[in-house]
Amino acid sequence: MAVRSRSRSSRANWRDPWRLAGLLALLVLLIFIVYPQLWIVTAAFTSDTGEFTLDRFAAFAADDRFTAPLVHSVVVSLAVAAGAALVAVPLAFVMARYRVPGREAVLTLLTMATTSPPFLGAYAWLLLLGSGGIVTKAAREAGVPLPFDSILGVGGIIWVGVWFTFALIFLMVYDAFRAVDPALEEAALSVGSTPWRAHWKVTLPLAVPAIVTGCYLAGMRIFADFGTPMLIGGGYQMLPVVVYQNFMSEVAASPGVAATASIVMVLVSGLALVAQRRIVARRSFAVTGGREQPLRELRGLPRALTLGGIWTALLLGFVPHLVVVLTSFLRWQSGILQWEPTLDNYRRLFEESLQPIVLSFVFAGIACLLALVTGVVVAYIVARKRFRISGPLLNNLVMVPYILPGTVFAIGFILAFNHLPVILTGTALIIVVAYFIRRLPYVMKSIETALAQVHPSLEEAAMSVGAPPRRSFRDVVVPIIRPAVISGGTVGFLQMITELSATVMLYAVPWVTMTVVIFTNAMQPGSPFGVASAMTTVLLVSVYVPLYLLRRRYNIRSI
Amino acid sequence: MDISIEGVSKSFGETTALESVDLRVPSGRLVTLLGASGCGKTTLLRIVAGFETADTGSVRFGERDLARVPVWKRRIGFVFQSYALWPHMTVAENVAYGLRLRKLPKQEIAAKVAAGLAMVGLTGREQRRPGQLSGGQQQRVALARALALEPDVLLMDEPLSNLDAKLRIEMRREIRRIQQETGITAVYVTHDQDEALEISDLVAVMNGGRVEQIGAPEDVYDRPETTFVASFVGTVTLLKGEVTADGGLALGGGATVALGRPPGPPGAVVNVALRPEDLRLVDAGAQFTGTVVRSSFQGSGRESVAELPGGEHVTFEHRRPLATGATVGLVADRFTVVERDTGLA
Repeated sequence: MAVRSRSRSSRANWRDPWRLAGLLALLVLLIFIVYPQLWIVTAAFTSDTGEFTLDRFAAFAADDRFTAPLVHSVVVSLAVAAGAALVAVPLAFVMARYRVPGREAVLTLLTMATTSPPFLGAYAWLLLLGSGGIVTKAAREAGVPLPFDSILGVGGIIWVGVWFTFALIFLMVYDAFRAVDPALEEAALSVGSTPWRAHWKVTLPLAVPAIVTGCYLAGMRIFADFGTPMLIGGGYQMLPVVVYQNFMSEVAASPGVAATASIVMVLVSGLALVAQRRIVARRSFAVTGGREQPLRELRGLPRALTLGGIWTALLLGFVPHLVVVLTSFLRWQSGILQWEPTLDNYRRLFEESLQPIVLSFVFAGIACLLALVTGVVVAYIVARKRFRISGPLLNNLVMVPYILPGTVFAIGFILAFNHLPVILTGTALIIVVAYFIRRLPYVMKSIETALAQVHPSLEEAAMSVGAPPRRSFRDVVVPIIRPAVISGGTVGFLQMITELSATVMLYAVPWVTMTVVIFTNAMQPGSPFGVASAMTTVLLVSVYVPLYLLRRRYNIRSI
Repeated sequence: MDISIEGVSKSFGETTALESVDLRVPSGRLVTLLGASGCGKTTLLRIVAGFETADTGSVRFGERDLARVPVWKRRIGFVFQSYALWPHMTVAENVAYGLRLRKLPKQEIAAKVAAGLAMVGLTGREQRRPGQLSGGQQQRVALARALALEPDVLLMDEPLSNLDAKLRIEMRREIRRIQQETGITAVYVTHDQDEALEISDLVAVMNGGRVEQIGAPEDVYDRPETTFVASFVGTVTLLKGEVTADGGLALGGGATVALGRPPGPPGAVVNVALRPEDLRLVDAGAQFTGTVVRSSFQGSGRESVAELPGGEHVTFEHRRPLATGATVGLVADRFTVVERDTGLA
């Protein structure tokens, strides 16, 4: 009897279609995550003659062409995180506690700001404040002295970074402030604390995990960002740019230097993740439940200051968008803006550059579908199945791209897939796969969160009334997680269509995306800025229209 | 359709959940699996349903061996502790889902849904979503859904534990009525002894992955076979002692009590179970004399605890108030000798 039922259960296990799907997903992750990273590790630890060596790391540490950018990257990331938090935390606190007119509009705009293309800020601020920028030139002609020559340099990177990331911190911290049970502050008041002391000693510490997580996300965006320092860094070197230049110029000779720098980058972002996890784990108090925070009235000067602060921050956050849209409707002549309205830019865009638009949509669309299917499989197995080996393996592997900067990711792909057994370089497929794998962690996490809301008994109930597992998955699980799948997919799509740092290394003519066109235009003085602006406008429309529809339908936030 | 469970064992990793359980549920009867959390009762129910696979042993509905039959072909109705209503479907759709899977004609489905909702008293709520119903109403929908397919057996996993006390009593009577009207064989898991005693034809008391006793509610209460059963079901005083030559009981504390008749052959060590209602306060001729250490008012009567000279505590029922510290004399009108000592609940 014992023998019979044991063999039955193991056979039933192998008949489970999730097992096969899980193995397929695992295979995909091994090929596209582990295999390329192994190539980077190999390249970093072997000498040009093919022996194991640590010399490359010693050389890295001794060469200030690398150590200076490393220090710069870390310092700038910390500065941006701190600056963005300084802007975001007070605003979030006021918004969470006081009645602010136009709250919904402000929240919508902030959500939009978190999904703006990563290089947009640099490009637009360059148009305004570059050495030949609109504002700098106008000021020079009018004889108004400016405190700086141009935005190029470390100050510019931090300035752009702060306005690019503050919305991210704001939304996280705002949610945390809203979730604080008012009873906790009342308790502080009841034992004789003043309101401000209660805020300082009770509310703020409760929001620390959200602040730390927001700062981590903001800092990592800048640390891994290639477009911003490339466009406005001037002579100020940061790691992604150095790695990119090194790899692109050296690729024929030896990829070892870039690989070494890549590993350093991954180490830094891994350390940042560990630090964030430790701080959050130590202080994560469950403060959900309880009452909603009541919104208090705000009058007079504080009210004016609050509104002024919020809208100034929003305006600065959206300067890039406004500049790009505006300049797309103005005439440019050999890199110089003529104040003359025109639709010429759009005419030229659709005549000459329709293909990148279509390609961007196709690449991001296919990659998004792949990420959704794989995300559902992995999330379901992680949340529901007790697979002893493939379960934990999938759960950990799928998160690896989360700490891989786009530049590193692309180098791994090139090293791994420019020779047999898998050749992908130069094809369109490599971009699709890169988008798919890079955004998989985000898509998977959003589905996993939704699945956690579907109690297993809901599926069991369906089986008890006669639905086989496949049927109960279709009729019960899918409808319930559909909103999360759609919103996770949309956010993934938006991040893919605005991806630059990996695309710029992986693309090959004719597989050019919108982001590549905009970037190459922005890098060349005298190039058709109008067309690039028009294309950025198209990109913005393709990002914000889906986001708007999504937010209206599901009321979600994108992080 | 009767249910036979034979030699079912199950372990999760190192922990043994069930140890060779045998149980027979006669056709048309309601059996409760009663026990504390972790005793294996839910695991046993889930094995009967097919959600878990037994390591060894067999489960049969009638003559049908279920070893190779998956949940969706077992013809069961299952009611979950968490209700498990599908939030994206209306009440009517929840009840109709299984019928639709059977591809029954539309009118027949509509008629069955209407009849099912009428049975649980929810006519008129067809188009509500589960989230718009109270807990009690949700559990009624779950019951209607489980019964809509006219299954062979109805399995219920602590269906009332998420409801408040008053509703729980109302709903358990409702479940009993529906079970008797439909004549369905039912297994009901609970940790609440009052619930088990009220609604069951048979109560199976479980402890540590085993069934300690199965019997009618009266048998389990009046004639517990083990000390665990005696102490889990209802309030009880268990006195352990050696039977003396003159038929008394020599307690561990040194005192000897005469119980009216010898609880066993002289020299035997026995456990004597006394229910509070079996003890009576007397002014003279007391079998036990002790000091009141605790007395509580319970509405219909009072329940007090007296400490015997040897330190044993005896719980008894009475009506008039008693002061703590008072000396009382008690007589046992009846007592039960418990066969096996399996520890206390």
